[in-house]
Amino acid sequence: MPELEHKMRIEGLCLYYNGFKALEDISMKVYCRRITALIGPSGCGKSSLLRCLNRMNDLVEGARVEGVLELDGEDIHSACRDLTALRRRVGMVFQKPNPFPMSVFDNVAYGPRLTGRKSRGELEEIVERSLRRAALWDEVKDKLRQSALALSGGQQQRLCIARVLAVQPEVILLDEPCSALDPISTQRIEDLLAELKSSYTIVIVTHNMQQAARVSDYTAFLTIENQGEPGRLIEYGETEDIFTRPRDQRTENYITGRFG
Amino acid sequence: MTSKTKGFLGIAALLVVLLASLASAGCGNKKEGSGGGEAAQTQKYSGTVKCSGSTTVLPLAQEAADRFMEANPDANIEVQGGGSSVGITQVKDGVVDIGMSSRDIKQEENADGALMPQKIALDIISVVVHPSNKVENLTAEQVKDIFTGKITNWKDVGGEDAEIIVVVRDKASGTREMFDEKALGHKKDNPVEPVSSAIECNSNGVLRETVASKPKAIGYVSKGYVNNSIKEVKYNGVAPTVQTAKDKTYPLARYLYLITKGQPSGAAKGFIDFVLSDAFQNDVVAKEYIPIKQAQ
Amino acid sequence: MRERKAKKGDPLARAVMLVCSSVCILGIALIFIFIIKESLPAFRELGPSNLFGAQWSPDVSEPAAGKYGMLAFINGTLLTTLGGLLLGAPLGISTAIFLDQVAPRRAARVIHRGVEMLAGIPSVVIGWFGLTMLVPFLARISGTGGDGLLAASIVLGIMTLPTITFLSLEALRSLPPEYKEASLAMGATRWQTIRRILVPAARRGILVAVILGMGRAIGETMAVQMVIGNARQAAWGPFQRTSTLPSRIITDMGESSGLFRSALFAQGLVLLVLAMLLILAIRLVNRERGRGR
Repeated sequence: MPELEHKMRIEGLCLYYNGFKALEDISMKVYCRRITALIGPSGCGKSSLLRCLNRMNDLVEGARVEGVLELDGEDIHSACRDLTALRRRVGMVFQKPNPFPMSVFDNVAYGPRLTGRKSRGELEEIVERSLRRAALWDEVKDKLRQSALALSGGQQQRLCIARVLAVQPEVILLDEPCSALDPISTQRIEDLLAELKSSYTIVIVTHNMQQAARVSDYTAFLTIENQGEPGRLIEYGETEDIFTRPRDQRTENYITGRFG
Repeated sequence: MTSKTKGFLGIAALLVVLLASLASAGCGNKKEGSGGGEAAQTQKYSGTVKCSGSTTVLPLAQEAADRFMEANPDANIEVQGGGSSVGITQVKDGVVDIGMSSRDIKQEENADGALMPQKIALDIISVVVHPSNKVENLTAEQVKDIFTGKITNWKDVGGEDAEIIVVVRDKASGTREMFDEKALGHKKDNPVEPVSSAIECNSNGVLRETVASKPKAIGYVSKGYVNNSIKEVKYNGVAPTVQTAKDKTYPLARYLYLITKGQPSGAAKGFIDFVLSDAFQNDVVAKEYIPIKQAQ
Repeated sequence: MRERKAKKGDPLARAVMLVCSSVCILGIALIFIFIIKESLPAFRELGPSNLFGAQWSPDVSEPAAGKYGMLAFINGTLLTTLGGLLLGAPLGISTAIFLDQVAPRRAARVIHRGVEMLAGIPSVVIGWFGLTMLVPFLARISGTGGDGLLAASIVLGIMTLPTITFLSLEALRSLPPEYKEASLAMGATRWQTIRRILVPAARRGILVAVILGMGRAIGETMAVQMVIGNARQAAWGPFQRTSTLPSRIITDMGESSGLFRSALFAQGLVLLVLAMLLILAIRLVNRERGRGR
């Protein structure tokens, strides 16, 4: 595997929820301008791992992380690390489309407004650019003042992507972004990801093996051996290798559908 | 509200009920000792007698009812407030058997002459101030000017430099009516009213508490309600006492009535006779009011 | 809050619910009819110009000659209700936000219990507190009697606090957790999330909370009566004594009769109409704003 420049580095990461160990000894690198997919059975901790990357687990009472987690070589857990700055650099799109109950425009402008006063013109420019990048502009350019909740599910999810793009993040985390969408909407999101890859580092959690194979460059397979045990990283490598020449029997079982 | 809180409130309510019943039991015991005066009574009464009306008469009637029922276990006297007008209306309408009033029955209230008023006591109205107030005496003119808002500062009547807070009874009360007439000179063709910033209280008790809580207040209250939380002032140099009311040198006084529709009979008659009995008049009425025999 | 269509296919349950809601409506209608009937003599014999005049001086011996103007009391009702809300609404809404978003779990539980206890305190006890603690305190700092519009507003603020707090809390808690998550993931701080997302998203529920708080304030009787001074004058200053419609009714109803009594019922009717108009007005404003969004 040729050594690429990496954006994030995870080394010996363990995650605890109160006494329960959810992840054990995860080590992997997230490469620049590539799509990394996290796959594995339900409950294996792939979403938890994703949420470690922008410290959303901090919201969960009793959550504790051990190990190294670096963004551009800087530890994201060191005390002086500004949480809001981290989350602006590492944006997140959730499983269920979750636009705010406000207009399309205000949704996209939300992030830029947080960082300080911006002129109307600046905001309009950011909103248009973000919506265009999210391939949503043409569909909503006449409804910018309407409630975002009136959009279809697929449009809402792309709006959420536009909302993240508006703060110009470096990394985008997507947590099963298509699981609530129909195949056509899913297709559009996948196309969008392929396009965004040229400028952003993307990590996507998916339970859909085909999706992982279609969109990602790297794939990490996580699993739990038995109920109550922590999730472990079984195999990590280029997507093509994982899907065609898995080194581990468990990976092969999972991707060929022989799991469980 | 959570069920836990409800449970707590329930327990609290239970405690209150318990305490209340204990307290009333205690009162009952006290009365047994002093209730010997009625032993001479030969005839026993039974049945229910309902009374309502003046809050001035209420404590008197309640005390009488308790004692009467002790002597006549089969009799049940129910006493309620509501005010003189309510008492007069209800006895006229037959809602109650006895109406309590702290004022004379008006002509129009007794057009058919069916109502029979019985004087039971003479009430004295004291002009009262906060105990810290140095003013001891007010002339009739000063009282009138204070209550109508012409005098607004205590320094004008020999007190400290402070705004006077006027406290009066509600418009429909018999006490207010008498005070307006006798102290303020209110007449039908020449109405006089207390100053519009006056605090209105709808019972003697509330008025006492109000004056007691305000160092700058002045009000008036039935003498029976005067305690050491408020201070009586002389009116035209005359202290409100039984003696001065009896010899009419103190003018702010009035009669209290029990009213029946037609001649009273049965337990109602027994009750009124009991209230008029020397024992009750001397034991109870005399504490706050002037027994009716002495006042006539 | 919104009516939901009952599921078809359970005729018994539907019938029971229909009967229950009819009883509700019937009760309201009966109250209206009764109050209108009782206040009719006042309107007929005194006329609106007397009833809605500025002077209050009932005549007990010759009722028709009295002045029964309730303008000062309408004024008192509106000002104290407004004052109570100005104190109770910000306090209640912030308490709800604090409980839902900021307070550590244990502290939140203690505060929640505390506000619950406050809701359970009878109004007469709050009035007693007002009379014995608040009014003397205000008297000392202001050099007046202490009672009046401000004292009543403070008492009403305390009384509306639990209603506004719990209903606002309900509104905040019913928000999908995704809003908060999404906002925080965008790099918003907790306060930015509260101010820009949570409160605006819950604003309808919060408005309902304020309306119901207002409902409590506008009709509150005992506690207000004990601290407002029960004067018949119209008041504008915070330390001026006056009356509200309910406090005037409770002060005078004991011994009133005839036209005087009917005039008090007319005040009750006005109070009822006033409460309904205020609620209607706020609903309309809310609907306009909803459309504008």
